[in-house]
Amino acid sequence: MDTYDFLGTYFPDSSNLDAERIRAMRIALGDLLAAAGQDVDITPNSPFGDLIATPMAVGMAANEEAWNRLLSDLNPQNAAEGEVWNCEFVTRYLRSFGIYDETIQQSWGVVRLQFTSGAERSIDKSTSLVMDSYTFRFFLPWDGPLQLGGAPAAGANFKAYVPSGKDRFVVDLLVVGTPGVAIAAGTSPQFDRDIEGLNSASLISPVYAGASPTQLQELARRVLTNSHTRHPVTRGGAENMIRQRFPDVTAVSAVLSGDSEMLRDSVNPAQVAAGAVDIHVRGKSLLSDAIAIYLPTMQGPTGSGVVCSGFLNLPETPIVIDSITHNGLQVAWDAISVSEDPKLPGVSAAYGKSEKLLLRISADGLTPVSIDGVVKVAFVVNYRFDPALKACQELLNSPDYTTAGLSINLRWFVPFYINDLTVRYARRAGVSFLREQCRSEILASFNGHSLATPAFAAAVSDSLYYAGAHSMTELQLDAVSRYSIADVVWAGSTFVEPTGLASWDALLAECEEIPIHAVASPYTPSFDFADIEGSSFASSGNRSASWILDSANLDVVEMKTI
Amino acid sequence: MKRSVAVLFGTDGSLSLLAEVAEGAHCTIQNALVNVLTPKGVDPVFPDRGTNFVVSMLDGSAIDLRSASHVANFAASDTIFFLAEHGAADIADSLNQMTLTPSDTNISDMEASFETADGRSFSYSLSGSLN
Repeated sequence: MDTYDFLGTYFPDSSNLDAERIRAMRIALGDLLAAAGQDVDITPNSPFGDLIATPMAVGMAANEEAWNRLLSDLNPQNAAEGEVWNCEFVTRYLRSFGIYDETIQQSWGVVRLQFTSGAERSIDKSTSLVMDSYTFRFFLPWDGPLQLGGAPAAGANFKAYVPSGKDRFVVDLLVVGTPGVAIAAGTSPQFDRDIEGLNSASLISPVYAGASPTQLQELARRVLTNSHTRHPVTRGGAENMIRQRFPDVTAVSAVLSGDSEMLRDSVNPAQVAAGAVDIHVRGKSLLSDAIAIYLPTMQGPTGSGVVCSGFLNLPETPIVIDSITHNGLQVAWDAISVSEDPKLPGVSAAYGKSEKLLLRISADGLTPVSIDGVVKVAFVVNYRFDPALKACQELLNSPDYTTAGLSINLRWFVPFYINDLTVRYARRAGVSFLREQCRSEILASFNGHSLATPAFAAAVSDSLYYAGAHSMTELQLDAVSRYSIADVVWAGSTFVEPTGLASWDALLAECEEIPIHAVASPYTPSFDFADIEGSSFASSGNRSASWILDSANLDVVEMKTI
Repeated sequence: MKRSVAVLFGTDGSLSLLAEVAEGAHCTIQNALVNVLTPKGVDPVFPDRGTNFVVSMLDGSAIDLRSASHVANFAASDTIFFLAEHGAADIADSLNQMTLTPSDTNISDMEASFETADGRSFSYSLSGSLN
């Protein structure tokens, strides 16, 4: 049985009991005795009144206050607003709602292991890593060890290597640890045992703290929002499921069958809508990574007019490809989006684990090399990824979150890439304008705040105001949708990887061009994604779209001084 | 009818409880006398309880019999009001009137008379000293 210091934590000081309350208790006591047929005089100035009734009334008032405080602790709403009388009791009480801060809101990050060979390896499940004196473990939800390489097996903790250069094979793994810990990216972990063939290991994302175990207020808030459901059967349940496990995720949005944003609606013969749920997630920020890849050539290795083609194999799902270089020089490239999952047709697989990007690079001056008897060309892909996407993918792949009869598609939001955001403002003479603060807030608002909402102009206006501007005079937005990194999506029936230029052309004939929706808005108070003329092939909405704004594309310009 | 323990008002100003029962109007009367002798403000639960009777007598405010009578009358009046608000629930036993008549400025002798709401009268001779 739990024991608590009830007197010490709930009972008030006598100074907290006002005279009016004690008098009310005396009256209540008198009524009680009278109702019980007691005729003892307990009025003030009487012996029983002064020596017994008044002290008893003080005790009754203190008791009432103590019970009020206990009942207050039983209401998560009060804890969420910061009013807690007994932290120990409330913490244990909230656990009855399934809010276990130690085992659910763990800190997490992505560690990259680099090996010199792609041999099959088994790493014991109990393997631990130490970073900044904190212990982490691999997130391995299935039984059995971590299996690297070899044949993938269902129901196992299997991860495939990603080749990245000569004698270089990398694998990215989600690690989890003590809540409340934050560690910078680039930290090298120390393992508690030798791992055969491991060349290096480093944190490619920061360790995100999860929820601090001391944040009782945050736990109580989650009880209020999560207690009804944390399963992707409903929109709220899907969002709560992600947020409970990964509170660092800044935006979660579920698109269900019937929503305008859903691209894979279908009905079964009984005319019942198929259970399709697209869950869009977005973390605090996109991180940059560079991976070396080798693509086989489709023509002779003459170095002139060489065409390379192959599936892009990156350790993380790319959200933006900034550039592809060969020997330090950028090359032009195009891609075809191919869905590996028949339940995710067209661009519905984009920015998720089921989308494969078939690259084609044609350039002069490419220097092929022979690798294992195959002529290939080396490139470096500079791309941006979101570690939150990986973390959520690992979660949904775990056995505890396997659903029956529900097709869940976890992906990033459909990005609307802002090519230009120009904000013009007026400033009062003599007032300083904090330009960097304003820029920083606008960038944070568009990039990490939430999915796109119609009220972005209000956020910009607020940032200007708090930086010292008098008013916003103009807001010019120029953005385009990117339903996939690729420009076309394969829409054929049987996919055959091309081996030459002719088969590439044949494959392109089976592709559909992915539309690009442009958004241009002068200063208007709202913009609604519903205004975009979508199609069943590619459409987006407030639930599925999100902005990407690079610092170089933001201009904050002073128009006039007033 | 309310019941209580009888209070003995000592000649030295002390109060003690007797192994006797006080009933009805006698409870009200002894409550009234306790109220007169209780300095105002000592009870945090009932801020308006008590009177300035003892303090005025001890600090020399009652320079003559007339002023002593004024002090006594004010004390009686305050007590009647207090008992009316917090006193006996039995209307018959509540006090309509209370009169304190000191015979000197030291209150070595004082006549106290009480009249209940149902018309009963009680008189007492009190003697003692306040030091």
